[in-house]
Amino acid sequence: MASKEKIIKAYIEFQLLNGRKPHSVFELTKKLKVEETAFYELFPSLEKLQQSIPLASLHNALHRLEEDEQYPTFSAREKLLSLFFTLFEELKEQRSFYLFNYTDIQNVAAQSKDWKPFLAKLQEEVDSLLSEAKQQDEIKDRAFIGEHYAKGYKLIFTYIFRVWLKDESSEFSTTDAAIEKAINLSFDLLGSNQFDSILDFGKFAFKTKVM
Amino acid sequence: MLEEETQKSLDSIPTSKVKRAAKIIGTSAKVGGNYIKYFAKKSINSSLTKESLHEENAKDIYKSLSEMKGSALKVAQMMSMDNSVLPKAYQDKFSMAQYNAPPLSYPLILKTFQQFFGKKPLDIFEEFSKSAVHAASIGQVHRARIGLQSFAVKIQYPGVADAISSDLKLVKPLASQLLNMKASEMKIYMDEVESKLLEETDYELELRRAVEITSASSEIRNVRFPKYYPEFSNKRILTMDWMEGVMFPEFLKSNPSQEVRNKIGQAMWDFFLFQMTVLNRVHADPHPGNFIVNSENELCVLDFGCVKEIPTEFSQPYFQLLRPEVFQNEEQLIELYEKLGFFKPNDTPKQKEFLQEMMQQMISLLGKPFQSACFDFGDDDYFAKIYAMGENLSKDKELRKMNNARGSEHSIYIMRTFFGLYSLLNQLKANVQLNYPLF
Repeated sequence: MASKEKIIKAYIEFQLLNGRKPHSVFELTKKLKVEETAFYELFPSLEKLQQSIPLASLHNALHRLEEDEQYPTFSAREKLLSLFFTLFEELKEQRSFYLFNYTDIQNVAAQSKDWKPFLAKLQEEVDSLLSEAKQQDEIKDRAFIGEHYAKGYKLIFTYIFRVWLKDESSEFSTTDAAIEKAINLSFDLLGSNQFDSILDFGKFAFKTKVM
Repeated sequence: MLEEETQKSLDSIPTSKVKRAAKIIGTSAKVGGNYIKYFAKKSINSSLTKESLHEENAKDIYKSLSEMKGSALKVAQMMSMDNSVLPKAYQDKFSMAQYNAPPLSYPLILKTFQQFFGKKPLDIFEEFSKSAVHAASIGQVHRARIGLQSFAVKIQYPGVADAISSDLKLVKPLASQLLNMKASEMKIYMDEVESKLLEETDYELELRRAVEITSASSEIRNVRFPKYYPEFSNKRILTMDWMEGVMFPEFLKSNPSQEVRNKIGQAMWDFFLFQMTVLNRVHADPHPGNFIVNSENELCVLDFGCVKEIPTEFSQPYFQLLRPEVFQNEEQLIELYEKLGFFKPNDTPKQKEFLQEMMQQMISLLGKPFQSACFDFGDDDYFAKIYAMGENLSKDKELRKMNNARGSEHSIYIMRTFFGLYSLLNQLKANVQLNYPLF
C-alpha cells in the first residue's frame, strides 16, 4: 500500500534523479510500481503533491513547537523566532528538492503556485502570533494596516528562503543570522514610534501626489 | 558578575554588508570632517587642542564600530590596547567597545543547543538563564546550574566566522588611515590579525588551549582558572565553571589595599611571564573584562579565545634585545634587527641610523621592568613617557616617509599582551617582582 510519505519520497527522488518533474501521474506510479488509483486516493494531482511538500514541513514544525514544554512560556517574538528556526530545520530535510526547484526564484509568493497553501498556512500562524503580540503590547496595533502585518512575513519568509538556498556557511549559520535579524527588525519596527512617522509621511506624500 | 543583568538591545542593527560598508565609509568621512572642523576652529580659536580633536574622532569611530558586531568590535578592542599607536582619547572610547552588542534570542540559543547536543539547555542543566548575563565580544554568556555547581555557558553569535573576513576588508582602509600605513604593507600584519580572529571563533580550539594552559599553569600562586567541560562544549558553545567574585574594574573601584594590589599584580605578572618564558604560548588578551578577583583576593583568568603561539625563532632574538650586554653591543644588535625585520635590505645607512636610535629609545623604555629585580607599575611618570613616545613616533615625519610597517608579524600580539599587562598593572598600581627573566 502506498502512503503519502512514500509517494512524496518517490516524487522527490524522481525529480532529483531525472532532473525533471514526471510528466504524468502514470509515469510516477509506474516507477513506484503502484496503481494510479492509489495515487489519486491520496493526491488529486501532481501539482497538489508538489504543494504538499513545503506544507508538510510547516505542519511538522508546528507540531514540534506544540510538543515543546517551554514554547507556551515564550513571548510572541520568541515564538515567531522559534517558528522560523524550526521551519528551516524541517525544510533542510529536503534541501536538494528546494535547490532543484527554486534556486532561481525571486519571489516565492508571486512566481510560484507551489507555495500558495504553505503561505496561507504560514500567514494564519503568524497572524495569531501577532495578535498575541498586540495583546501583550510587544508591537503596536494600528488602524487599517494592523490587520495586514502578517502579509509582510511572506516577504520575510521569501527573503530568508533565498538566503538559505544560497547559504554555504557551516551549519547554515548565515540563515540563522538572517532569521534573527529579520524577525527582530520587524518586531522593533512594528513596536516603534518611528514607524508611525514613516506611515504618516507616506500618507502625506500620497495625498500631495509628489513622490 | 553576580547580579543577573539583562542586556539592552540596540535601537538599530546594521544588517547587510552594504549597510556596514556605508557605516564605515560614513565614519571615514566624519573623521575627515572632524579634521576640517579642527582646522577651521583652530584658525579662529587657537586654544583648541589636538586632544579634543582625537576625542571627537574616537567618539565617531567608536559609535559606528559599536553598532557592528564581531570582528569590527574586536579590531576596536585591539586598537584600544595598542597604546603606542593610538593616542589616549581613542583608547578610552575603544575599551568600552566590548560592552555593546545586541543579544541573541532565546529561540536561537535553543536551536544551537539542539543542533550540537540534540538536547535543550534544560535537558542538560537543571537551571539555565533565559537571557544572557553578559556579553562576550563574539558571543554571550548564560548562567546554568546542576546541583550545587554553577556554570558559565558561552554561546557564539551565528555567522561570526563568515562576517570576520568581510568586516576586516571594510576596516582595513580605516585602519590604514588611522595608522598611516599603505594597505600593501599592512598585509602580513592584517593576515596575522585575521587568523587570530578566526581562531577565536573556534570554541573547540579555545577549549583545548584553555585546558592545556590552565593545567600547565596550575602551580602559579594566587591564580585561579575555571574548569572547562568538554562534554558540554562544542564548536559554538563553551562551558566552564561560574567564577564567583568581582570583575576587575569593580575590584579597582573598591579601593583595595596596596598589599592586595601587589598580590593581584604579582599573580598577573607571574601568569603572563610564565606563559611567555616556559609555555611559549600566551593568553594574548589581557583586558579588564577577562579577570575576576574572588573573595580570597585571588586572580581568576577567563577567556582563552586569543592565544598567541610564540615561535622560538622569533622569541629568542626578540627577548635577546633586552639583555644589557647585547643592548650595548652594536654589531650584535644590528644582527638582531635584521633577523627580526626591523631593518630592511634597501634601507640607507642614514635610515638605519635613525631607526636604530628609535629602537634604542623604545627598548630601553619598554624593557625597563626587566632590568631590575622588582618594578613599580604605579609609576605614572613611566607611563606618561610611554604615551609620549607613542605619540612622537606616530607623528614622526622621518619615520612616516620610510615605510612604516616594520618588524615581525609575531610582535603584534606579543606587544599587545605586554601593553595590556602593563596597563592593567598600572591601573593596579602594583609593585611586582621579576621572578621570570625573559633572557
